[in-house]
Amino acid sequence: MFNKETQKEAGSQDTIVAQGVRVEGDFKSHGNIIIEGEVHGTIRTERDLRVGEQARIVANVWAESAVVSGEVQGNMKIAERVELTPTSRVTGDIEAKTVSIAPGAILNGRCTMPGGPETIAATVPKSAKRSRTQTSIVEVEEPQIS
Amino acid sequence: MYYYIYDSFVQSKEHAKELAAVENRLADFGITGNIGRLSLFRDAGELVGDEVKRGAKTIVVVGDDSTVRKVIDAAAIARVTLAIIPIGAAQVFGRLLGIPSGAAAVEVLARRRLLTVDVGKVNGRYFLSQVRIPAGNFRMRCEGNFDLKSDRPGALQIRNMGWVAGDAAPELGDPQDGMLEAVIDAPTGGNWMHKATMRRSTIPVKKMVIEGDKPIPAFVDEEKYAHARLEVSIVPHRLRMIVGRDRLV
Repeated sequence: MFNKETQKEAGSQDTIVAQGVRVEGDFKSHGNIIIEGEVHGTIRTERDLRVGEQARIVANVWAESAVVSGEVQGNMKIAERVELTPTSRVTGDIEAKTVSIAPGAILNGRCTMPGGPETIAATVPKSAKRSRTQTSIVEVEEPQIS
Repeated sequence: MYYYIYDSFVQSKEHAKELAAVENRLADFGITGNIGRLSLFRDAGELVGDEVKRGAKTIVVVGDDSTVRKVIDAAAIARVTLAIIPIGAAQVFGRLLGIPSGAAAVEVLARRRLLTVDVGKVNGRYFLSQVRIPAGNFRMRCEGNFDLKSDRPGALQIRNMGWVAGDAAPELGDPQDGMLEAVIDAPTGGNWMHKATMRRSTIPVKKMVIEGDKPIPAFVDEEKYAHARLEVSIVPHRLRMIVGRDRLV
Protein backbone atom coordinates (compact mmCIF):
# COMPACT_ATOMS: atom_id res chain seq x y z
CA MET A 1 0.00 0.00 0.00
CA PHE A 2 2.66 2.54 0.95
CA ASN A 3 4.84 1.87 -2.06
CA LYS A 4 7.87 4.17 -2.27
CA GLU A 5 8.23 3.66 -6.00
CA THR A 6 4.69 4.74 -6.74
CA GLN A 7 5.22 7.69 -4.44
CA LYS A 8 8.22 8.83 -6.53
CA GLU A 9 6.37 8.33 -9.81
CA ALA A 10 3.55 10.61 -8.70
CA GLY A 11 6.05 13.15 -7.44
CA SER A 12 4.21 13.48 -4.10
CA GLN A 13 5.61 12.99 -0.64
CA ASP A 14 4.19 11.27 2.42
CA THR A 15 2.59 13.56 4.96
CA ILE A 16 3.33 12.58 8.56
CA VAL A 17 1.54 14.11 11.52
CA ALA A 18 3.47 12.90 14.55
CA GLN A 19 2.29 12.45 18.13
CA GLY A 20 1.98 15.77 19.88
CA VAL A 21 0.97 17.67 16.73
CA ARG A 22 -2.60 18.63 15.88
CA VAL A 23 -4.04 19.65 12.52
CA GLU A 24 -7.20 21.77 12.53
CA GLY A 25 -9.11 22.53 9.36
CA ASP A 26 -9.42 21.15 5.82
CA PHE A 27 -6.38 18.94 5.44
CA LYS A 28 -5.61 17.92 1.86
CA SER A 29 -2.69 16.02 0.42
CA HIS A 30 -1.79 14.52 -2.94
CA GLY A 31 0.35 11.84 -1.30
CA ASN A 32 0.00 9.23 1.43
CA ILE A 33 -0.95 10.47 4.89
CA ILE A 34 0.24 8.94 8.15
CA ILE A 35 -1.46 10.24 11.29
CA GLU A 36 0.06 9.56 14.70
CA GLY A 37 -1.24 12.81 16.23
CA GLU A 38 -4.63 14.52 15.99
CA VAL A 39 -6.71 15.88 13.16
CA HIS A 40 -9.89 17.94 13.55
CA GLY A 41 -11.82 18.94 10.45
CA THR A 42 -11.60 17.00 7.18
CA ILE A 43 -8.94 14.81 5.58
CA ARG A 44 -8.66 14.27 1.86
CA THR A 45 -6.05 12.38 -0.08
CA GLU A 46 -5.90 10.73 -3.48
CA ARG A 47 -3.64 8.07 -1.99
CA ASP A 48 -3.49 6.03 1.20
CA LEU A 49 -4.25 6.94 4.80
CA ARG A 50 -2.79 5.26 7.86
CA VAL A 51 -4.13 6.07 11.32
CA GLY A 52 -1.73 5.06 14.07
CA GLU A 53 -2.68 3.49 17.39
CA GLN A 54 -2.26 6.73 19.35
CA ALA A 55 -3.89 8.85 16.66
CA ARG A 56 -7.19 10.63 17.12
CA ILE A 57 -9.19 11.88 14.16
CA VAL A 58 -12.35 13.94 14.53
CA ALA A 59 -13.00 14.46 10.84
CA ASN A 60 -14.66 13.13 7.74
CA VAL A 61 -12.18 11.24 5.62
CA TRP A 62 -11.77 10.69 1.90
CA ALA A 63 -8.94 8.44 0.69
CA GLU A 64 -8.01 5.82 -1.87
CA SER A 65 -7.48 3.24 0.87
CA ALA A 66 -7.05 3.29 4.63
CA VAL A 67 -5.58 1.31 7.50
CA VAL A 68 -7.01 2.38 10.86
CA SER A 69 -5.38 1.45 14.15
CA GLY A 70 -6.51 4.41 16.24
CA GLU A 71 -9.61 6.48 16.84
CA VAL A 72 -11.76 7.98 14.09
CA GLN A 73 -14.90 9.99 14.79
CA GLY A 74 -16.38 10.82 11.44
CA ASN A 75 -17.49 9.28 8.18
CA MET A 76 -14.99 7.54 5.95
CA LYS A 77 -15.40 7.40 2.20
CA ILE A 78 -12.70 5.13 0.84
CA ALA A 79 -12.39 4.32 -2.87
CA GLU A 80 -10.84 0.92 -2.49
CA ARG A 81 -10.06 -0.87 0.77
CA VAL A 82 -10.36 -0.02 4.43
CA GLU A 83 -8.76 -2.15 7.09
CA LEU A 84 -9.67 -1.83 10.78
CA THR A 85 -7.00 -3.37 12.94
CA PRO A 86 -7.65 -4.78 16.46
CA THR A 87 -6.93 -1.43 18.17
CA SER A 88 -9.16 0.68 15.93
CA ARG A 89 -12.20 2.54 17.21
CA VAL A 90 -14.40 4.04 14.51
CA THR A 91 -17.56 6.03 15.19
CA GLY A 92 -19.13 6.94 11.90
CA ASP A 93 -20.15 5.47 8.59
CA ILE A 94 -17.74 3.69 6.29
CA GLU A 95 -18.14 3.43 2.56
CA ALA A 96 -15.56 1.29 0.73
CA LYS A 97 -15.28 -1.43 -1.90
CA THR A 98 -13.59 -3.76 0.55
CA VAL A 99 -13.82 -3.67 4.32
CA SER A 100 -11.63 -5.75 6.57
CA ILE A 101 -12.46 -5.70 10.28
CA ALA A 102 -10.08 -7.51 12.61
CA PRO A 103 -11.24 -9.11 15.87
CA GLY A 104 -11.12 -6.45 18.57
CA ALA A 105 -11.88 -3.55 16.22
CA ILE A 106 -14.77 -1.32 17.28
CA LEU A 107 -17.05 0.11 14.62
CA ASN A 108 -20.22 2.01 15.50
CA GLY A 109 -21.81 3.12 12.28
CA ARG A 110 -23.07 2.00 8.90
CA CYS A 111 -20.91 0.05 6.53
CA THR A 112 -21.73 0.50 2.83
CA MET A 113 -20.00 -1.39 0.05
CA PRO A 114 -20.94 0.04 -3.35
CA GLY A 115 -21.90 -2.45 -6.04
CA GLY A 116 -22.78 -5.14 -3.47
CA PRO A 117 -26.57 -5.48 -3.14
CA GLU A 118 -27.30 -4.39 -6.75
CA THR A 119 -24.76 -6.91 -8.09
CA ILE A 120 -26.24 -9.64 -5.89
CA ALA A 121 -29.78 -8.67 -6.99
CA ALA A 122 -28.78 -9.19 -10.62
CA THR A 123 -27.66 -12.77 -9.97
CA VAL A 124 -30.26 -13.84 -7.36
CA PRO A 125 -33.11 -15.93 -8.83
CA LYS A 126 -36.54 -14.21 -8.93
CA SER A 127 -37.92 -16.65 -6.40
CA ALA A 128 -35.43 -15.50 -3.71
CA LYS A 129 -36.40 -12.74 -1.23
CA ARG A 130 -34.74 -9.37 -1.66
CA SER A 131 -33.41 -7.27 1.21
CA ARG A 132 -35.30 -3.99 1.67
CA THR A 133 -32.23 -2.00 2.58
CA GLN A 134 -29.01 -1.57 0.65
CA THR A 135 -26.89 -1.01 3.74
CA SER A 136 -26.05 -3.17 6.67
CA ILE A 137 -25.24 -2.07 10.18
CA VAL A 138 -22.23 -3.83 11.58
CA GLU A 139 -21.36 -3.71 15.24
CA VAL A 140 -18.27 -5.56 16.24
CA GLU A 141 -17.29 -5.39 19.88
CA GLU A 142 -14.69 -7.12 21.92
CA PRO A 143 -16.08 -10.47 23.03
CA GLN A 144 -16.92 -10.73 26.75
CA ILE A 145 -14.90 -13.53 28.24
CA SER A 146 -16.31 -14.79 31.56
CA MET B 1 27.59 34.91 -21.99
CA TYR B 2 28.99 34.50 -18.48
CA TYR B 3 29.07 37.20 -15.84
CA TYR B 4 31.17 36.67 -12.73
CA ILE B 5 30.23 38.29 -9.42
CA TYR B 6 33.13 38.39 -6.98
CA ASP B 7 32.43 38.89 -3.30
CA SER B 8 34.69 41.45 -1.65
CA PHE B 9 36.56 38.92 0.50
CA VAL B 10 37.77 36.75 -2.44
CA GLN B 11 40.00 39.61 -3.57
CA SER B 12 41.92 39.60 -0.29
CA LYS B 13 45.50 38.30 -0.03
CA GLU B 14 44.27 35.17 1.72
CA HIS B 15 42.42 34.01 -1.40
CA ALA B 16 44.63 35.56 -4.10
CA LYS B 17 46.29 32.29 -5.09
CA GLU B 18 43.01 30.41 -5.25
CA LEU B 19 41.35 33.15 -7.28
CA ALA B 20 44.25 33.23 -9.73
CA ALA B 21 43.95 29.46 -10.18
CA VAL B 22 40.23 29.85 -10.89
CA GLU B 23 40.83 32.58 -13.45
CA ASN B 24 43.50 30.55 -15.22
CA ARG B 25 41.19 27.57 -15.43
CA LEU B 26 38.38 29.71 -16.82
CA ALA B 27 40.75 30.89 -19.53
CA ASP B 28 41.75 27.27 -20.27
CA PHE B 29 38.10 26.40 -20.87
CA GLY B 30 37.45 29.63 -22.77
CA ILE B 31 34.59 30.68 -20.48
CA THR B 32 35.86 33.98 -19.15
CA GLY B 33 33.51 36.92 -19.01
CA ASN B 34 32.87 40.28 -17.42
CA ILE B 35 33.49 40.60 -13.71
CA GLY B 36 31.43 42.56 -11.21
CA ARG B 37 32.52 43.12 -7.63
CA LEU B 38 30.17 43.35 -4.69
CA SER B 39 30.85 46.28 -2.42
CA LEU B 40 29.12 48.68 -0.08
CA PHE B 41 28.16 50.81 -3.03
CA ARG B 42 27.25 48.09 -5.52
CA ASP B 43 24.86 45.35 -4.53
CA ALA B 44 23.97 42.19 -6.38
CA GLY B 45 20.62 43.48 -7.61
CA GLU B 46 22.26 46.34 -9.49
CA LEU B 47 25.07 44.20 -10.88
CA VAL B 48 22.78 41.42 -12.10
CA GLY B 49 20.19 43.82 -13.47
CA ASP B 50 22.74 45.79 -15.49
CA GLU B 51 24.44 42.72 -16.93
CA VAL B 52 21.21 40.99 -17.87
CA LYS B 53 20.31 44.09 -19.88
CA ARG B 54 23.66 43.69 -21.65
CA GLY B 55 22.83 40.10 -22.52
CA ALA B 56 24.29 38.02 -19.68
CA LYS B 57 22.52 34.67 -19.44
CA THR B 58 24.66 32.95 -16.81
CA ILE B 59 25.62 34.54 -13.52
CA VAL B 60 28.52 32.90 -11.71
CA VAL B 61 28.84 33.61 -7.99
CA VAL B 62 32.46 33.54 -6.84
CA GLY B 63 32.42 33.36 -3.05
CA ASP B 64 30.84 31.45 -0.21
CA ASP B 65 27.33 30.81 1.11
CA SER B 66 26.86 34.44 2.12
CA THR B 67 27.68 35.48 -1.45
CA VAL B 68 25.03 33.13 -2.81
CA ARG B 69 22.52 34.68 -0.40
CA LYS B 70 23.34 38.13 -1.67
CA VAL B 71 22.79 37.12 -5.30
CA ILE B 72 19.90 34.64 -5.13
CA ASP B 73 17.20 37.28 -4.92
CA ALA B 74 18.43 39.16 -8.00
CA ALA B 75 19.04 35.93 -9.92
CA ALA B 76 15.54 34.61 -9.23
CA ILE B 77 13.97 37.92 -10.27
CA ALA B 78 16.01 38.05 -13.50
CA ARG B 79 15.51 34.29 -14.13
CA VAL B 80 19.11 33.78 -15.22
CA THR B 81 21.13 30.57 -15.02
CA LEU B 82 23.06 30.57 -11.77
CA ALA B 83 26.39 28.90 -11.07
CA ILE B 84 28.77 28.91 -8.11
CA ILE B 85 32.53 28.79 -7.74
CA PRO B 86 32.89 28.16 -3.99
CA ILE B 87 35.74 30.02 -2.34
CA GLY B 88 35.94 30.45 1.41
CA ALA B 89 35.05 28.41 4.46
CA ALA B 90 31.25 28.26 4.22
CA GLN B 91 30.39 26.06 1.24
CA VAL B 92 27.11 24.33 2.02
CA PHE B 93 25.55 25.40 -1.29
CA GLY B 94 28.56 23.93 -3.06
CA ARG B 95 28.01 20.61 -1.25
CA LEU B 96 24.28 20.60 -1.97
CA LEU B 97 24.89 21.24 -5.67
CA GLY B 98 27.89 18.94 -6.04
CA ILE B 99 30.34 21.73 -6.84
CA PRO B 100 33.87 21.38 -5.48
CA SER B 101 35.87 24.28 -4.14
CA GLY B 102 38.05 26.68 -6.12
CA ALA B 103 39.52 25.84 -9.53
CA ALA B 104 37.94 22.35 -9.55
CA ALA B 105 34.55 24.06 -9.80
CA VAL B 106 35.43 25.45 -13.22
CA GLU B 107 35.21 21.99 -14.73
CA VAL B 108 31.65 21.69 -13.41
CA LEU B 109 30.89 25.10 -14.85
CA ALA B 110 32.28 24.09 -18.25
CA ARG B 111 30.23 20.86 -18.28
CA ARG B 112 27.11 22.95 -17.84
CA ARG B 113 24.90 20.27 -16.30
CA LEU B 114 21.65 22.12 -15.70
CA LEU B 115 18.99 21.60 -13.06
CA THR B 116 15.78 23.62 -12.92
CA VAL B 117 14.88 24.19 -9.29
CA ASP B 118 12.07 25.66 -7.25
CA VAL B 119 12.82 28.74 -5.23
CA GLY B 120 11.21 29.68 -1.94
CA LYS B 121 9.92 33.11 -1.04
CA VAL B 122 9.62 34.60 2.43
CA ASN B 123 8.00 38.02 2.79
CA GLY B 124 8.76 38.77 -0.85
CA ARG B 125 12.40 37.73 -0.69
CA TYR B 126 13.70 34.61 -2.46
CA PHE B 127 15.57 31.81 -0.74
CA LEU B 128 17.13 28.59 -1.97
CA SER B 129 17.62 26.16 0.90
CA GLN B 130 15.23 26.62 3.84
CA VAL B 131 13.63 28.78 6.49
CA ARG B 132 14.50 27.53 9.95
CA ILE B 133 12.74 28.63 13.12
CA PRO B 134 14.03 27.39 16.50
CA ALA B 135 11.53 26.09 19.05
CA GLY B 136 9.23 28.81 20.26
CA ASN B 137 5.65 30.04 20.44
CA PHE B 138 4.23 30.76 17.03
CA ARG B 139 1.13 29.89 15.03
CA MET B 140 1.28 28.04 11.72
CA ARG B 141 -1.33 28.19 8.98
CA CYS B 142 -0.93 26.12 5.83
CA GLU B 143 -2.46 26.74 2.39
CA GLY B 144 -4.96 29.07 4.07
CA ASN B 145 -6.91 25.93 4.97
CA PHE B 146 -5.55 24.31 8.09
CA ASP B 147 -3.60 25.18 11.21
CA LEU B 148 -0.77 23.20 12.74
CA LYS B 149 -0.47 23.16 16.52
CA SER B 150 2.06 21.50 18.72
CA ASP B 151 1.34 20.44 22.31
CA ARG B 152 4.81 21.67 23.25
CA PRO B 153 7.01 24.25 21.47
CA GLY B 154 8.81 22.64 18.56
CA ALA B 155 11.35 23.71 15.97
CA LEU B 156 10.18 24.31 12.41
CA GLN B 157 12.06 23.96 9.16
CA ILE B 158 10.45 24.87 5.86
CA ARG B 159 12.65 23.18 3.32
CA ASN B 160 13.16 23.72 -0.36
CA MET B 161 16.63 22.28 -0.92
CA GLY B 162 17.42 21.66 2.73
CA TRP B 163 20.72 22.17 4.51
CA VAL B 164 23.85 20.36 5.69
CA ALA B 165 25.06 21.50 9.09
CA GLY B 166 28.73 20.62 9.62
CA ASP B 167 29.27 16.88 9.83
CA ALA B 168 25.65 16.14 10.67
CA ALA B 169 23.53 14.11 8.27
CA PRO B 170 22.09 16.28 5.49
CA GLU B 171 18.49 17.37 6.04
CA LEU B 172 17.31 17.59 2.47
CA GLY B 173 14.19 18.54 0.57
CA ASP B 174 13.31 18.06 -3.09
CA PRO B 175 13.84 21.34 -4.97
CA GLN B 176 12.06 20.08 -8.05
CA ASP B 177 8.71 18.89 -6.70
CA GLY B 178 6.96 22.25 -6.64
CA MET B 179 6.45 21.95 -2.89
CA LEU B 180 8.02 23.06 0.36
CA GLU B 181 8.37 20.61 3.20
CA ALA B 182 7.30 21.79 6.64
CA VAL B 183 9.20 19.74 9.21
CA ILE B 184 8.21 20.08 12.87
CA ASP B 185 10.39 18.54 15.56
CA ALA B 186 8.47 18.63 18.83
CA PRO B 187 8.97 16.79 22.15
CA THR B 188 6.38 14.41 23.55
CA GLY B 189 6.16 12.50 26.79
CA GLY B 190 8.95 12.58 29.28
CA ASN B 191 8.96 13.41 32.98
CA TRP B 192 11.47 13.97 35.80
CA MET B 193 12.83 10.47 35.25
CA HIS B 194 12.65 10.04 31.51
CA LYS B 195 13.71 12.39 28.77
CA ALA B 196 11.05 13.56 26.31
CA THR B 197 11.05 11.96 22.87
CA MET B 198 11.45 14.20 19.82
CA ARG B 199 8.94 13.34 17.14
CA ARG B 200 9.02 14.62 13.58
CA SER B 201 6.07 15.69 11.47
CA THR B 202 6.52 16.26 7.75
CA ILE B 203 3.89 18.13 5.78
CA PRO B 204 4.29 19.15 2.11
CA VAL B 205 2.90 22.64 1.56
CA LYS B 206 2.89 25.29 -1.13
CA LYS B 207 2.22 28.18 1.21
CA MET B 208 2.55 28.74 4.93
CA VAL B 209 2.11 31.67 7.29
CA ILE B 210 3.91 31.71 10.61
CA GLU B 211 2.84 34.35 13.11
CA GLY B 212 3.91 35.27 16.59
CA ASP B 213 3.02 37.90 19.14
CA LYS B 214 6.55 39.26 18.83
CA PRO B 215 9.23 38.99 16.10
CA ILE B 216 10.03 35.35 15.36
CA PRO B 217 13.77 34.67 15.18
CA ALA B 218 14.12 32.85 11.86
CA PHE B 219 17.06 31.85 9.68
CA VAL B 220 16.57 32.17 5.94
CA ASP B 221 19.31 30.26 4.08
CA GLU B 222 20.93 30.33 7.54
CA GLU B 223 20.94 34.11 7.63
CA LYS B 224 19.13 35.74 10.56
CA TYR B 225 15.76 37.27 9.76
CA ALA B 226 13.28 38.23 12.47
CA HIS B 227 9.70 39.23 11.76
CA ALA B 228 6.38 38.82 13.56
CA ARG B 229 4.75 37.40 10.43
CA LEU B 230 6.46 35.18 7.88
CA GLU B 231 4.68 34.39 4.63
CA VAL B 232 6.50 31.52 3.02
CA SER B 233 5.65 30.13 -0.39
CA ILE B 234 7.17 28.12 -3.23
CA VAL B 235 7.85 29.43 -6.72
CA PRO B 236 8.13 26.27 -8.83
CA HIS B 237 10.79 25.84 -11.51
CA ARG B 238 12.06 29.39 -11.11
CA LEU B 239 15.81 29.06 -11.49
CA ARG B 240 18.22 27.06 -13.61
CA MET B 241 21.42 26.11 -11.85
CA ILE B 242 24.65 24.52 -13.01
CA VAL B 243 25.26 21.50 -10.82
CA GLY B 244 27.82 18.78 -10.34
CA ARG B 245 27.40 15.04 -10.66
CA ASP B 246 27.84 14.51 -6.91
CA ARG B 247 25.07 16.83 -5.87
CA LEU B 248 22.99 15.99 -2.79
CA VAL B 249 19.68 17.38 -4.14
